[in-house]
Amino acid sequence: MDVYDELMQMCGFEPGESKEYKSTLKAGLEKWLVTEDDVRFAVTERLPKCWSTNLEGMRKILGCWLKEFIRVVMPTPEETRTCHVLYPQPGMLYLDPIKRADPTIQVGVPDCLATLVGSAYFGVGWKYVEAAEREGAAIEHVTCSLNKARYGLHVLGILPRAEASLAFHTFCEDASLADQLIYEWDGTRTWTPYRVRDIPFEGDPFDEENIKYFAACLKEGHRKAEEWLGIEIKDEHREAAMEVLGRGFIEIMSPIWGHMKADPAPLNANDVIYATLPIASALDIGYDEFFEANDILQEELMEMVEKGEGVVPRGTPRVAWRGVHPWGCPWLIPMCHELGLSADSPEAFLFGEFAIGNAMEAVGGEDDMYMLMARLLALISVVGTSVEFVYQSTSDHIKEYKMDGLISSAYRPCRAFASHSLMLARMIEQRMGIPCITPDVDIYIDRGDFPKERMKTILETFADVVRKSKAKREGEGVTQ
Amino acid sequence: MEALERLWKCAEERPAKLKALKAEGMKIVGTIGLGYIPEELIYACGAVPQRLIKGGQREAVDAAHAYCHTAFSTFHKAQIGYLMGGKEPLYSSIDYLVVEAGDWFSELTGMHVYAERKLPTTWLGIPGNPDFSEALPYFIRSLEKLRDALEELTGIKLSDSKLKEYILLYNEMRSLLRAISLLRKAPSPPISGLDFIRLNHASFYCEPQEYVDALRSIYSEIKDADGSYTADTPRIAIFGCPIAEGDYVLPKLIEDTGGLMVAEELCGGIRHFESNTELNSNLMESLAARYYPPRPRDPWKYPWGEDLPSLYTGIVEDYNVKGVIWYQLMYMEAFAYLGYVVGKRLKGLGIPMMTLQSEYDMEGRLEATRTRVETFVEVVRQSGKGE
Repeated sequence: MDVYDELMQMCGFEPGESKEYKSTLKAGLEKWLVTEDDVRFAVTERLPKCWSTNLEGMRKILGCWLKEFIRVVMPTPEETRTCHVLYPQPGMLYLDPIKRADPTIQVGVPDCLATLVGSAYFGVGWKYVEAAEREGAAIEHVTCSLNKARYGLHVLGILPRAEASLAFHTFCEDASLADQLIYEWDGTRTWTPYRVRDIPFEGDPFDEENIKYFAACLKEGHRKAEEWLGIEIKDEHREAAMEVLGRGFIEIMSPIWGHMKADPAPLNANDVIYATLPIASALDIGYDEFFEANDILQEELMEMVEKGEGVVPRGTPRVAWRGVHPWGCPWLIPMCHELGLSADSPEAFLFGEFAIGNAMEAVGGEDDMYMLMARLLALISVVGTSVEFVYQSTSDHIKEYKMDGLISSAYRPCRAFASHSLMLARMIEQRMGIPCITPDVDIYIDRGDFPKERMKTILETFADVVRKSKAKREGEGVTQ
Repeated sequence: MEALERLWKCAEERPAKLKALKAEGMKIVGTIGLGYIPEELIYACGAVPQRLIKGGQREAVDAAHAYCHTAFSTFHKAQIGYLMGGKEPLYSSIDYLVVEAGDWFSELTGMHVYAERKLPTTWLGIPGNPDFSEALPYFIRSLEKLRDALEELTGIKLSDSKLKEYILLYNEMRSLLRAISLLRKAPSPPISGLDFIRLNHASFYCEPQEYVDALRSIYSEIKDADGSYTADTPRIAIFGCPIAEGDYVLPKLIEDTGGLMVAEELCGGIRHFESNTELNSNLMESLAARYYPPRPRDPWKYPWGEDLPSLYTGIVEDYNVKGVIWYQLMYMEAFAYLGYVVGKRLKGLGIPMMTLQSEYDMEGRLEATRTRVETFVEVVRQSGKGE
């Protein structure tokens, strides 16, 4: 058994499947510049330490990510054209109708795969980022490594020129900027669905005019895709995509969010992200395998919760990662555990702002796909929702999940994340008395610029503060 | 020039002027952005606009670090520092803020200030995809919302006649600035680059009528005059990030080292004067069309395509520029990306470009910067010798 076999085993492949898939896997990894040593690193260091690979469902979910990672660079012979989108959400709703309109179009979220798999599993994300920096992307942490990785994939020839690229300014300013360089590099045509960020600090994130404009921009993106790809996106394609999303909310997100309220929580924060994000991503491999993997996981979780089992001992102080969970540095999660913090509690961004209650309220019977997307996205801080709304949803999350502390990522190049994180941390500390830190960490690519020892010192101190704060609140009989 | 001196004095006395206006009950409306906010509208609604464009001081940047992340645009950190520091009388006099929600820095500057100071603020919605058919209508509605907010602030209902009066005044202001700028196409321009930037910046500090009067005098005085530059003086342009009022180290160095700064494209760091407002029956729509053109000049409007890089190469051709210095403020990454693309285009034209980075710390490394600028100016001079 070599490291590739070990990798597939750790990613839940069945024995017969592994044998058949091995050559594709090796060829795909080679394209992604993943060496045998990188695979060895994944199977000895990363995967077993950072994810709950003792759970079959989790292994299979990791396998879905791996297969999608390979598929992006190893399309089927039928897939002759490409349409990309930035970042997962709402890639699924946006790209799935395109795939349904014409299955010969490869759809994908390559930046997400470069970071969630390339960087997180194999530690090779820096290769893509450095390629981008050689060709004009601002160096170091002035700009976002997620987007630099995306551009780098074009520079390195890992990704071909795409027929259409739909990047979301709504999530990320650097996305649209990276798109301009990608266009400059290989002529990939792009469209930028744009949410105007004019919601006041205490304003209504669902301002009708703002949402309508955003929805119209999203619709225009599909019109451009139709034109550039020569397809027709019909109502049935949009409806089918909405159905998958709805199923994902009901069958995956909602139960996992429910299980994660248990003390101890049955999954760690890395697990949660990988188990839930695919329903927001566009998957060329389809969703069936992912839903099956989740069915297995849900059964395992139910059993763990019943038995009171979890990643850390019961009663461990709980903290949440807010902003984008640092999947580029998944080692932060086990580091928290070692320091006596439960970072297995849910991620505040996903479970707070995007909580099911909020989401249901936001979409409330909306049957126009673009309006639904616009309203869903309006929940999320980086998309330009109001800061006060972010505070409300985060504080609800802290209360609901009985959080003892908040780690609010202040990822340097992401102005919106960093700014909101700082403002929010102050608001949470002042209004709720919950300790917060805003560590400056690369949430997408681990290039070693944020040394582990420095992060450990920060988290160690924070763990002390959280423990004392929890003890004090318990002594005073204060509950969240 | 007497008129020029008058304008420098006017800028110097601006804080006292604002204080006096406040005492009379006028509302002072601070604006932050890249030039999408029509001052005509603010005046016509009975308030006094004050573009927040001061910069160049490291202390203001440091002061901002108490409120925002280090990796935030240098220019905008300075604005936060001034607005929160309480030491700048001009910034302390602001009653109301209008920030552009078109680039994230301006929008987030408004958020940071509101979070701490609760200064009443309008985030002016500016769509990022100007070629989309819904974009201009959205901007028109944004201006209408701003008008409503201003009317509420001042208690004065906007009248078409008042708005038209200010539109015409600002049209004249821009026409004069354009005419003066065009004089720099001459082999020996009658105005230096530094003086032109300062003259332009003075427009943010003077009452518009007073400013236009001074511009008229200046133009009539210099329109037929020659400068004192020789034919081999290297003709340099500064492109890139906004040069704030007071941040004059670079243009001064260019001129001190024997260069001639003949043009600039500094996005929000300059009053744009190329186009005027064309009056039609709906003045709000007229204003919107002027302030939100089909290809805005900032890098936060997509796609750039060839249009945005062409803006820069066009200036190089129009003003016979022989060398470009790209002014890059720290953490304004959009300009770093644009600089890369523009640099490639200029290379194709055989025009050398040098990038200088600043976090308002140039004065602290003045000699090193001087050496770089001096060398660059010399390179441009030498490369022009064979022509």
